[in-house]
Amino acid sequence: MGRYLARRLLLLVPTLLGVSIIVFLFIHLIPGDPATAILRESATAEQVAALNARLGFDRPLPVQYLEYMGRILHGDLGESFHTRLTVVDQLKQKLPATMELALSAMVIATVAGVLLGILAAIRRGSFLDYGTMTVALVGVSMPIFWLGLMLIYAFAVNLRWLPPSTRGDPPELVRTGLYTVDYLLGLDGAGLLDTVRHLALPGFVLATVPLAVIARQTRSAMLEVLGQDFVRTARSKGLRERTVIARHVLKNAMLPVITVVGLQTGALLSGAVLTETVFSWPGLGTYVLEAILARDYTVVQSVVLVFAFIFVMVNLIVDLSYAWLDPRIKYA
Amino acid sequence: MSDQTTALATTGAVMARQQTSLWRDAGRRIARHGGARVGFVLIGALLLLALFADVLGVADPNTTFLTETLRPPLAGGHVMGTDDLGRDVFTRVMHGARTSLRVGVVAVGIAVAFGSLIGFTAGYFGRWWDALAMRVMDIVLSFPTILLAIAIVALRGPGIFNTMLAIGVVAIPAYARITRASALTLRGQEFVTAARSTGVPEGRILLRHIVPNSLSPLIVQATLGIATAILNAAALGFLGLGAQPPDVEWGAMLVDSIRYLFQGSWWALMFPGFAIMLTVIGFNLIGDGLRDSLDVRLRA
Repeated sequence: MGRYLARRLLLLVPTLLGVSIIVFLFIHLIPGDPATAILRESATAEQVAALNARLGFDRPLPVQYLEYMGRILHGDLGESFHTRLTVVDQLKQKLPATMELALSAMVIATVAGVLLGILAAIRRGSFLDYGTMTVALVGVSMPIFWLGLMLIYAFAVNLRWLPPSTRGDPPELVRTGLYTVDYLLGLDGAGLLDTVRHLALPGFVLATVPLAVIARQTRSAMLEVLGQDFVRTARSKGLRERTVIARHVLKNAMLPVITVVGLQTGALLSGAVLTETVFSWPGLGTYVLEAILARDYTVVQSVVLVFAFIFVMVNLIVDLSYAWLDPRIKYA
Repeated sequence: MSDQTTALATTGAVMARQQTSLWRDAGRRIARHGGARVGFVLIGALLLLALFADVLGVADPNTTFLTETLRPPLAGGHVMGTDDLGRDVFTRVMHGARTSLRVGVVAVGIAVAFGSLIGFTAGYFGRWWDALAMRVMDIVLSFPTILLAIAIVALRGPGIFNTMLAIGVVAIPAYARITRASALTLRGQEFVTAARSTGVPEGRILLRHIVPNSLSPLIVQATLGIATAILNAAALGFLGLGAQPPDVEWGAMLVDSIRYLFQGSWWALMFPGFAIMLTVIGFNLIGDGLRDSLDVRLRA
């Protein structure tokens, strides 16, 4: 395991270097001159030259890249060209918002997905099975932003049960940036309820795709295990069906499910960009999209880099936990 | 001796049976596949709507009926109602079908072309090219799909062509990995060794032996890929980075509908969304059916 871990960490280096090069080149891939793109066409030649000098665009590319990497390794992700706010400060506010949304979605998706998958497998061929699998197919086939808009229309506009957007009011004392945790720590029940009400719709919307995928995967993993000899043995020695499922089937069926949960956590980041846009959720997704529309390229660069870093790390953790859980996997 | 006779007899019996090809067998299986049938009906209906959009709807999807804005469905001959500019929603949904199908097919075409070129050569020739190509694919996979597509469109500017390009590029690694895996497995098989030992050139082995034997997983992935591509295109359209007017696109229709959703007009939100969903379900069902009938195991 130690050698496997070391090898995986070593492989991370070229990948992250490649990611940083692509992200660095991003600003240079803009057709024409990056300074002109930022200042738009109306800028004078002097303004463009001044900005080029300020941002260091007038130097050779390798020099620029080394300087860029130097800044990043010192934790300097630059500042917004328009608002002059540093990206690091913005990230401190926006990252917890995205994390809270993604974590809630993952909890909803895992709990509901695994339960539905188990039920569908146990009652194979029943109405419940077909119903669950149809819902799962619809879940992966639906544009989640469309689902979000329809839920807003139903629950916020018509029924007025839930708020249509944003995270709600921040707690008085922001400790972790996760509002649910902060309200819990502050023992503020009303605040917690308000936060949960704001989380409900976006959390559910973001959970749809992973929920559907997890339900399908759980069902097929369960069915595969249910057909094996040791399950027949367990039944034939007179164990109750409940014990067979809980002790023998579930335990063996969970491994592929855990992989899928991990893979979906990575995919959740893509969904977060769309979900945040629909619900005006003040997280990384809306941040990067606003920056793109405002041509605030340093912000785009840095946020994309952060996204890719999280993505790579999540995938690494998934692979490692998989290898740790299944001793049959060779670490070679 | 008697063993040989039996073997010959068996061979004879097998030869006498009517020959069926892999593809004909698969075709027969998929025709009996319940899910795939539903998928074919859905996509067939969509193709008809796209083909006859000019006949079935108002001639131009951008025609505005300024006296008939925000009509509910079925009012004044508008099957799916009209939007805030008085444009016929049904006509726009049909024209949107053209856009989505085109984007889906072209994007997947780009991904299959580049992905399989990279994958087959990497898997078959191996060495430094394999190491380099797979590293690059890993790097591309390090970005969340939609974010990478957004970044590409942000660089090149919004529009339908750049949408196809962006969605195609982000899908390349999936095809590269599948074709590489096939090439790796086939490379060591006896018929390939036999071909090589009789002096068949490498390029010919790749084209005549490796590629045709790897088509099944590629076809399955491409079909499911069209579904993903259509969803991603709608997402870009929704973010305002996809097709621009006068091109009609479902995602862009959805974002337009937000403007007047709060006035209670749900239809302009409902119908384009349903169109996306049914199309994606259709391609997913056909893809699942192909996977079952071609007996392919894919890692999702």
